[in-house]
Amino acid sequence: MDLINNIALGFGTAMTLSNLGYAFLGCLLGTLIGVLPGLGPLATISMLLPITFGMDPTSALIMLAGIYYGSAYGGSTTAILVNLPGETSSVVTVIDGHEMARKGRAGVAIATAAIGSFVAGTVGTLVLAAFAAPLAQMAFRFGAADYFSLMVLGLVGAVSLSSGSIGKAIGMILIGILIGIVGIDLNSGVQRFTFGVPHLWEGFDFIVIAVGIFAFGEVVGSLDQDEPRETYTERVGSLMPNREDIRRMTPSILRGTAIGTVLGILPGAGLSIASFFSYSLEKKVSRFRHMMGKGAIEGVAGPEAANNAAAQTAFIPTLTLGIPGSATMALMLGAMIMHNIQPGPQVMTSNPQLFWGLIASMWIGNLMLVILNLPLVGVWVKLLKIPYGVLFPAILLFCCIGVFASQFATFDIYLAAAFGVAGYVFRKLECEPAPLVLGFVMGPLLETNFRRALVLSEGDFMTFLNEPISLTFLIIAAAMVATASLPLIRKRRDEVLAED
Amino acid sequence: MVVRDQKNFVAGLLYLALGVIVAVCSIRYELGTAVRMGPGYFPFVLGVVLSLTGICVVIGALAPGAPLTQIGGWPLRNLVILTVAVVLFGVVLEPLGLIVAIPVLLGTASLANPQFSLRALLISVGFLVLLSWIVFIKLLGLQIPLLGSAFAN
Repeated sequence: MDLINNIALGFGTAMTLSNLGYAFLGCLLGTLIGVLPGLGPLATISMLLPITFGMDPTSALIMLAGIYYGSAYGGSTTAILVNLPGETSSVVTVIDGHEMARKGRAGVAIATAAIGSFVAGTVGTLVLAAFAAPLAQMAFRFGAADYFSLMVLGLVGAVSLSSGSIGKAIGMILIGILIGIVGIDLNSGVQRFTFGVPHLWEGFDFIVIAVGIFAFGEVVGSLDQDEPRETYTERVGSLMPNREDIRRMTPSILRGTAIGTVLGILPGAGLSIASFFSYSLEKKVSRFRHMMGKGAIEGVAGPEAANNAAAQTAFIPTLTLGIPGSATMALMLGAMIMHNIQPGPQVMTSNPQLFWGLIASMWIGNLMLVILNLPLVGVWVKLLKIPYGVLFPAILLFCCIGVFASQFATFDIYLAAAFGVAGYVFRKLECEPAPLVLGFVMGPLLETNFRRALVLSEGDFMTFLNEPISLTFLIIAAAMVATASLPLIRKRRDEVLAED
Repeated sequence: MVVRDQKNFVAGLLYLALGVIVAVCSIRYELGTAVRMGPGYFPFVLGVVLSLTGICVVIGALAPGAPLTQIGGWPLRNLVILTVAVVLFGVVLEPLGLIVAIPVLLGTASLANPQFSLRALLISVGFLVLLSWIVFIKLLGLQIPLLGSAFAN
């Protein structure tokens, strides 16, 4: 049937020698940079994005997917070895993973994370493949008002579980949208907010924002912190889990996969909370729950599986609807737009090799991470030994070159520096920068649909509430804002977050 | 009126200020009507919503149950050093090329390095110049000048 044909098409595209090479390179580079302390997946993807310039879109996306998984994998490796979570979802891995490292079982922990992620990734990819077409079909029937409200829901959902006040997060989204407005308005030809600077006529380059706010900001932040970190790089130990390990990790992996698959699809913070959910579940349900927090393998297997399953299914709303569920997805979306692909329901019909090729190569990427990266753990461990004082100038250099390589404009470098300063200010005020990227990427589409909806309704603002689908989305969004503001939920969430 | 949540207070004021500025500027681009939106319409709406959000955040910061946060000292040294380093890189790149820009960037940035060692710096510079040349210029074919326009005679 259709699905099988599509999968076959996908593998045909993904398994060309060059695409396999790109997938491998992506995984390798993603892991390499992802392992480095102080660079989370957002910064990693921002830094490596420029490498894909000039590649054809399918290969570029395949490499980006590899970078994405690689950075997640590198992040969990670092979390296990260095007690330093690189991103929200690694926070949970740190708890039991680092304890396992202390007991000399770091290798097993890393292997568990890889195996769990692979199983989850396989399931996630299958779900993605199965659900993509029907979901796109559904999306075709969305009107402009519906789409607008869905995007509002996606944005609100993405921040409803971020730390800090939801008011600040919404503000950051709005600022992001406004930054995206800078440039020539396509509808009227008027320059908006360009202040007479010709370079800004096309608006800010996506890479400038991403690198400035994430990469530069993280480097400064890491330097400011300057804490000595516990690193267990000596006794990584054997990588092979023994039979009991495998028996214990299996149910956790299965449970984690289920949680992650479902949560990842929700446009929102499903990605980051998936690992928390899994950890809480394991604590309640696992036969070895008394060991959790002291190096139980379930504490690594479940959350890592949940995380990776969610990472896969998070692509579903991103690819089929064009709605990114998290800042990382927003980066991927921005990257696609940079390569002239507008993700949305029409991508599947207009560009099937790209779509299915990407899906197939996601699975291949997962496989590569398990097979190729496990033997390379030794290399990663050596990397962690490089003092940060040597690393950070190199990171800065790659960022600068990356920004320059986008439009070969020195001005972009200055802009990125300015955004770096802005990012620093935001961080000090505890305004999360991630929603800003979400707003930036979704801004143009938001405006287009807003405009279109009002034209269709002849100026009637009630159209957003009159259209049933639109109304549903807006109600859910309002409910999310309300519950996120409730002190009860905040306390529960802060409790879970405070476990590290 | 005691400001308990200082960070949110400042953030909210920032939003309010930005929102007002944006809304005011947007009026100068034509607003148009809902049916025929001018270029200023959407930014105006955003500016207004941003201001309202700012007010909400400020109110939240003043509420009796707000968490206590302080705007602590902001260690500016590293930020300034790194920003200057990046800007200098940009200034130097096209006229003098990567071969000068890299040492300038690394040298300036290493002022922020608590464990500075001249030897490590020189090795990094040499290594990174070579690496950049091979990867970016040769392998990826990017048009980044190794020697800048000042050397081209």
